[in-house]
Amino acid sequence: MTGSNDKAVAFEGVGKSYGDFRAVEDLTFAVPKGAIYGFLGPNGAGKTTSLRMMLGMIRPTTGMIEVLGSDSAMGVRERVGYLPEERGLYRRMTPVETIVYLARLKGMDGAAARKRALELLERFGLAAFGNTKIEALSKGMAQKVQILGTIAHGPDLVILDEPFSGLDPVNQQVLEELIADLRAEGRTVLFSTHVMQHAERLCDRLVLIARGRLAFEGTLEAARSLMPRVIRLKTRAPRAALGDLPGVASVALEDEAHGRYEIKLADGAEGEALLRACFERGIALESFDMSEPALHDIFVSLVGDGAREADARTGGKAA
Amino acid sequence: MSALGRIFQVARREYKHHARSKGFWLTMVAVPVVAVLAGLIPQWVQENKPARAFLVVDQSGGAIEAAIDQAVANDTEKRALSALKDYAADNLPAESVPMLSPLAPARGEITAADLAAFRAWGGVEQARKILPGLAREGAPPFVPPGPRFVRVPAPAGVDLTGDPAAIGAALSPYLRSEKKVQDAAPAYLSGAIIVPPGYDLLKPAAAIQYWSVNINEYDLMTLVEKALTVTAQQAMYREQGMSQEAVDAVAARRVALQGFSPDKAAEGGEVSTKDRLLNIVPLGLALMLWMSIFTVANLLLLGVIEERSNKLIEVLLSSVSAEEFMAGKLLGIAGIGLTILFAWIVVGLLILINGSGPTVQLAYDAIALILSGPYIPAFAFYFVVGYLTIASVFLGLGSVCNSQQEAQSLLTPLVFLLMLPFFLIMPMMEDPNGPIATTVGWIPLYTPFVMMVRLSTNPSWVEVAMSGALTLAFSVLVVWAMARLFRNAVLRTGQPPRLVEVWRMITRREA
Repeated sequence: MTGSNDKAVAFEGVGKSYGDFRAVEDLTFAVPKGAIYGFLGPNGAGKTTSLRMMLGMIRPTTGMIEVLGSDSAMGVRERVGYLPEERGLYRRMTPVETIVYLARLKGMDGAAARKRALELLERFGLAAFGNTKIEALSKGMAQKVQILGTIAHGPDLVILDEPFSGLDPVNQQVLEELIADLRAEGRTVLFSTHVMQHAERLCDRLVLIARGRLAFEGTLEAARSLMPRVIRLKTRAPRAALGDLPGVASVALEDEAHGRYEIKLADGAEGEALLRACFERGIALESFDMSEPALHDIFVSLVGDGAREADARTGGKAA
Repeated sequence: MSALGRIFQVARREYKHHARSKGFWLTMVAVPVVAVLAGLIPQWVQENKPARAFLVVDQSGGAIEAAIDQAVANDTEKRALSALKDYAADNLPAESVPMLSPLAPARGEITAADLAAFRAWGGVEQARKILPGLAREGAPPFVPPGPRFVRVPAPAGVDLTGDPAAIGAALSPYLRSEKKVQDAAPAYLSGAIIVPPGYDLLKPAAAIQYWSVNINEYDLMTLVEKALTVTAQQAMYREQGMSQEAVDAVAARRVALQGFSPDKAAEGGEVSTKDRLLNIVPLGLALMLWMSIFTVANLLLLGVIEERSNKLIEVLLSSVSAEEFMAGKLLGIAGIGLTILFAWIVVGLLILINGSGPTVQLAYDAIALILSGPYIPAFAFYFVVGYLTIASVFLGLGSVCNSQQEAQSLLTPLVFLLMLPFFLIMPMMEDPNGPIATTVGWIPLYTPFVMMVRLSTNPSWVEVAMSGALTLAFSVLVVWAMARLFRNAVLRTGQPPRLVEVWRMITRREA
């Protein structure tokens, strides 16, 4: 994968140890350019460590990392924007000064940075607070300022660590739109989250890590296909009749009085085939629900036990 | 953007940020103002102390009382003469001051002979008469200082015939300022001198008692002691058969030593007040060096703690490397330090330009001395080296602390360590090329301050160069170590690392 042009980020066998503690082990994945990429995992899974390695702030113990074609994000830092999980700004600087400073550190010249800062503040409804000191702003406003500071220099790759945490629902929506806009502009967005709805709505691909190891990498569909398909139906037909249907792996009775069942399909079996078979066999259905598995369920199924273990293992956060 | 560009951006923000703070302006203005006030206030207080009332109960006949009156009168006159000389130096054109008149600058302490000449000349009255014609245009009129002590009669109703203890007790309400001793100022009694019956200066049996509630005020006691000692000595000389003229001649005799130094051999070796500046000025420079470095090093510590505690550091380190960030901070804060230093110099010069008198002349001599020697390049070198060492240690300290409280506990021993040379100033001043000064001068941490002090005593250039190279190398090593610590520690969260861990962060190969 080295040198490939269609990858914004590539991890190849990346590991990071602190003494005996292995924060991340043998992580391999690639973020395609122009995608929105979800970086999921429970607390203590090694997300922040991975992101810091991606940014070149800490060096991996093993493996290779490539960012925008460079072997270190430091080499292309002016094309990268980063929003860390824990946020803070200089309390005595104003939003305009803050955004200008962050953009200038990324190589923008002063006048352009200033123009861009004013534009962004205007667009995100903070124009009136452009020259108010950060310490006088609400937490949500300060967080918005920091997000704007992350993207002000027009980075090709935007890395957001838990960007939604701390934002109210309205501003979460604003941020989702911003991320979608960034993709529309051809930029790559990588964000970590443990709120599955955001990932579900936004991500083209995702990586799931647990206990420092890769648990899954691929598209949302591919993730869903890992889960047995579950169908909920309501019928007066006996349970045995359902069990005989083709492609049924198991039948569970949810509510006997009303005849509600949960059917797990065998690998490769299709919901439509089951529905057809019901008609053919004269099983009268009162309802038939074959909604797709939620990312939440996939997450729990893939990392559920690991998450509990990881918390016990690290006693909270790894570096 | 280049690394230099990023360093410059960080430095610029640091500078702007701190230059806008109130503390910065306060430091720039307050320090020289406080320094000047610290010099002026004690003098002002001394000059403007209101006269204090005292009384004398002389049960021995009255000779002691007369001697005390004379001593107080002499004291007042001495102060007038001294003020007159200062006034003449400030307000009279030099050519209009006759060499040997009371208007001429004092040479040493004012003696009884000087006082006698002053009285013969006409005293304060004569001064008042002739000064308006001699003084420069616009000069203020000469106002002689008033007496320090005023003898008041004993208040009516106090029995002065008992023993000293009883008199003291009877005077107690007056001494405690519970009762006025007279209506005019000074209205309250500050001391009482009680001479026991039969007291003989030549064969004292019981002591003269000095009663006062303020046992720490020695002014009057000292004055009376000195005067009575002289009176007693003169009486003894006369008893031995000496004439009054001979006694006066003995009293007026002064012997002075003139200091010489082989360093001044070219000019005959004589040492003047100016030369003594050679000791004081470098010390002042070293103090200024230390203060300017310390004032700003603390800003670095607080700054990094802020950036760590509000997690800003992570955003910044995605844009600049830890080393660039550190370099930018060091540079920006150095700018603040130099600005403060510059402001001190400007404010100091402004005060000088608007001042006059012997102190100001001395300051001009000091400036001439600084300009003539190697002091400015030395100061620049020692500032850079000392600043880099101390500032990077403060930065490193900040990178491992989560809060000011955590930093404070580590800072106290550190500051003590850094202040050590100042505890050694007295022995170093007395023997600037002696074993203590030489040894401490070789300790790289202290070299900038100690060598700054010693520079005027002509240490061998080999020593200056070698210790300079050593402290420079040490500074580079410290900056390198602190940069490694900074990079490895600054993103950490949780408990501050133990000393062993700090050592590992500095020395381990992989970061």
